[in-house]
Amino acid sequence: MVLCSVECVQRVSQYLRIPPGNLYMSENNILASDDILPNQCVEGFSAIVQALIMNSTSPARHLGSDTEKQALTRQWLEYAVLRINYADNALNSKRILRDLNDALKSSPYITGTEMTLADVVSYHLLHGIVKDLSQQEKAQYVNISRWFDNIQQDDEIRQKLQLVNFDLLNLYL
Amino acid sequence: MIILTNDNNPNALKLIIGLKLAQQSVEINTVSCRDAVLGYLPSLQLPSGSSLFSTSAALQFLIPTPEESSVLINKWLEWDISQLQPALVSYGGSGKLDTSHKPRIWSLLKEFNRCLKSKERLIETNTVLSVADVSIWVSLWSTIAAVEVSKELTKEFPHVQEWLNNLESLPVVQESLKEFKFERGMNAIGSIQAASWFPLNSYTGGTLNKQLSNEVNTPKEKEVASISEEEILNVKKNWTSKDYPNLKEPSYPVLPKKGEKNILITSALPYVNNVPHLGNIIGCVLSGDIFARYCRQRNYNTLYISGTDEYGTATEAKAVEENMTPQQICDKFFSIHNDIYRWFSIGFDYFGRTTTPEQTEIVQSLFLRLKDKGFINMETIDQLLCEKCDRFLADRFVEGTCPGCKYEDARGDQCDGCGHLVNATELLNPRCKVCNNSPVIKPSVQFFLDLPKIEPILKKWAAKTEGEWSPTARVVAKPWLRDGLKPRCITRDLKWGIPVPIEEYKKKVFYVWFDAPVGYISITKRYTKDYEQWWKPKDHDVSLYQFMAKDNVPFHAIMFPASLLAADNGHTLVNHIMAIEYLNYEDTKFSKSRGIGVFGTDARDTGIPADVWRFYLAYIRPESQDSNFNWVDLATKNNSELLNNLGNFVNRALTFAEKNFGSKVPPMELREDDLIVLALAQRELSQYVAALEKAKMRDALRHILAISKHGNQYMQSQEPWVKIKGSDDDKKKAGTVIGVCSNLACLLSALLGPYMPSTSRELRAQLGLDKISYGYIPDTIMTFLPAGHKIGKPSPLFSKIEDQQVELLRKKYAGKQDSPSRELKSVIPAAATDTAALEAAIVKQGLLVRDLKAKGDKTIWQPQVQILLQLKKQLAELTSSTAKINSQSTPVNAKKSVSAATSELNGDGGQDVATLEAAIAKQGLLVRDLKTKGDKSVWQPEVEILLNLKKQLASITGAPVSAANDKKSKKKK
Repeated sequence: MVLCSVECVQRVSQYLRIPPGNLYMSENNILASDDILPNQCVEGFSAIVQALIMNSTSPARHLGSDTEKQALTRQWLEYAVLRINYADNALNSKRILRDLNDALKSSPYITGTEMTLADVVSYHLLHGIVKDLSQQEKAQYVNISRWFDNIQQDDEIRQKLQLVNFDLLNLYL
Repeated sequence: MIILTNDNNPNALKLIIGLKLAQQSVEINTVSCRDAVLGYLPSLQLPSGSSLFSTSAALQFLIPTPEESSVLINKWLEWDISQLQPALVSYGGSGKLDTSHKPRIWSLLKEFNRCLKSKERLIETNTVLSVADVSIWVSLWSTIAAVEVSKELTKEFPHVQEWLNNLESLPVVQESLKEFKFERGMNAIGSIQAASWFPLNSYTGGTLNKQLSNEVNTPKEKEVASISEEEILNVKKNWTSKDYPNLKEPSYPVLPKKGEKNILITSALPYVNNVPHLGNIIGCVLSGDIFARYCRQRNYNTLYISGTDEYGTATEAKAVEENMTPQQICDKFFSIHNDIYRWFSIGFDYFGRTTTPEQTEIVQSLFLRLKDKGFINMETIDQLLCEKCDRFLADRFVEGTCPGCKYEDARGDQCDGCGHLVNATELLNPRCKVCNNSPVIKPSVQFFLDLPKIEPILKKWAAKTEGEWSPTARVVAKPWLRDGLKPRCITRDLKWGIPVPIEEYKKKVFYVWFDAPVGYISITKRYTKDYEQWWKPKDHDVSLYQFMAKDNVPFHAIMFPASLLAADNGHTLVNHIMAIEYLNYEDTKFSKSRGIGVFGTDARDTGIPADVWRFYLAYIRPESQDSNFNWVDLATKNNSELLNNLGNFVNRALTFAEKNFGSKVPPMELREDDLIVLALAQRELSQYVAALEKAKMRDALRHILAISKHGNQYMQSQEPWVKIKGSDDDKKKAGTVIGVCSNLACLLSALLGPYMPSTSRELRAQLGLDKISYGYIPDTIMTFLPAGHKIGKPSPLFSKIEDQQVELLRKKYAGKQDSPSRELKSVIPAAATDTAALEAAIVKQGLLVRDLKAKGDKTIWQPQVQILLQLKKQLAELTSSTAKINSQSTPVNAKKSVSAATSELNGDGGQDVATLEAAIAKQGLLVRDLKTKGDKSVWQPEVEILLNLKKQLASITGAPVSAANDKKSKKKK
């Protein structure tokens, strides 16, 4: 099963308040959407998300305020399609959690000091995995725990997803 | 701009073309995947210091996407990385083309061909080339267009072929190709694979796997299923294509070399005035040794030094006690230390001492240098003078109440309660440790290190390097850096020490904390005259690893680096502070001063081999929290892990080879089952290496044991003893199994080297290898022992530790010390007053803990929690033993029910109940109060305490607690 699914895009579009268009899986098993843009089919999860960002009221807020930050956001959206997409396999999730934990070591958000859509997307993709982590694993991936707990406080991002409990006092040390 | 890439990775070419198109300079640095961010390459280094490992994102950064084509460009870039590249890697990543993946590639190419129809470029823009064209062109041209199937491309996908040729001839492409030489085809695919990671099933994406994962698999099937084809192919490739490297000839002296890994390792210098206990041994010298042995077995230039710390009042006092000169004491204890470490097979390159002319010279010149640079102040300070003993009291000779945490037995230099350093004169109610009199305060001139002046550089340095410290080290150092530093006294009015090199102050000596760390440098100087190559490297890198227990962190993280930074002489500063927590002995504290614990000499007398001690101490190494030495556990680990798991596996394999294959490694033809066990072992090996690179020896040890566990399961399922009696083909299979197992045994012998050096050599002898050296620790599994290799004579490596033996040992060493339980027994007649006192102490301590927790920092409140728990345990023991004694003293009542017995309790018991009830009432109020204020993390522990108290009350009175409990839990819901 892939995690970068129709449902995930719908949640992101709800957060951005931009209609996701007509979403479907193409014959090559690639996510596609028909009417985000007039007369054009957008193919690919990251491509769709980026198109939604461009339609939103403030693209710079979601993609990043300068070209460098935008590049980082693109990089992590790509990471989402390529890797987090398959995090529902325990073997993959380990490496993914390790990567992200490293990436979050010295910054509050995935791309640095600004929250971007890369955070929102990753949060939604990882929710199913993070909620089942043991206390020990939460401590092991403490940077992810910190980041995840931060992101989930925003009701517009979290939407109907369940709050994951982090016993922060015990996690941090 | 700078591109980092691994060797031969075509994706670097994408970045080069991108840079050329953006008219930027190109600089290419070849690095290994291990040094890459998250292991992904190539990456583009951005001016800000961050880097992009996604080539697509980097290309779009270099060449902004025109808005009208952004959707298409995004689509095709995503297609390249998430569809095409994973398929290419599956197709060719194994070193030969795997035809089962050809249809997938063909369907992608077909789609691509269709899109290129009647177009010169994939995406028509007004620039020369779109980034999508660049990206896909490189992916195809450097891989599939350069292998034998490329002929079919022309025929089946003419548009693709035309487009490939078309782009190749562009000047920008040709120029870029000059910048980066690489071999197209299979090697290129291999390099992409090495520096990327495409998760399992990433392109089948499929329905098939979904069904599989929903089924409940048996553990074994699951494990096998989780091995990816890639892993199998890698194992297969490494098995045949790699040669097992030899270890470097050890050189003397070991010196760092440019361009190589140079590792300098120190372990905290043990105080000379006592015999080290097990906690000291694992805390510093053994941890350092395991790591040093690992580094040597990886062919790093490794220097491991340590020595005894000999100056200071403790030595002076011990000398008075034993009626010897300080130097005689040092000589005596130096050889005791040296013997013990030798017995534990601690392989120092040099084990020195601090009472040497080199030490004096370096300490004095460091001091003068600091003084010249204005980092030394003079000040008259008040010192404690014991009038009865007629001497200034060194810090260690004063005890009193800690001004910070109010712990009553704080030492003059450091508080055991909260771990903070204290000034002796700040202690509340100080007392002389020798005569117990209150000392008086007298003024004296002393030198101070101006730490506040050094603080800015120190902070800058710490911020850069503390990421490499162990968590414990970071936690201990944090409050120091946060709270700001104060000037710190570095001299003392004593005799046994290094004199201050200024005429009028010659009678003063340096305080041990200032001189001891310099010992690392002076001891290296004793080892080699070229010591500056390690300590003041000019054109090569030296990584310094320092091992210690957490009480030594302030000196290694703050004081010593501060001195060296201020001296500004280009000294090697510590990169990795490897501090660990404390090891406890059978649930009580090891303590030199109180004489509790197993000491080095005792370990030798037990008859348990040093290797088993080393193994067990590493197994319980307190990496993240305090751990506990336990005799029963030691025996269990020896019997289950060493004897039944590791020893059994190796012995079975070798004995079988001896009996059935004439002591030769049989020929091996790897089939799927064999490859799977190798892949499983490979995983453990990779994790072993990764853990030890970070000096996480406790984790790494578990991976060794996991390998032999896999080996045992493999042998059990393959049943070579059945196959050997079967057909020729079966016999061959049995040979393969034994060959694979012998090779795993050989791998184990190398991995075991750092932990159990003698056992490792013994095993090497049994494997028919040179037993003088240890084996190289490789990154990958390969053929270590080729078919036909003659093995030695197998014999069991480990012996069982019997229960009786353990019991004897435990009693023997418990008898030596005054265990707390004994103390408790002796005070039992006064139980009533004691319980009350304990109760009061618990309440007080509870309040303190809560207070501290509210303020944050765990390092401060954690020890207080420990004290609290200790108090509670004592209380529990007391109450239960009181009850026991009471019931024993009235044997008639013993048969009656518990509640009946309670009514028979004497007045003491009644008071117990009363005090407990009072405590419960108080705690109840506290909990209610806290709950109204909110935060669960604060009141939760208090609720636990309340429940605990109630339970205790119940155990005395026999009354059920359930009523109160249920109410509480309902409320919580």
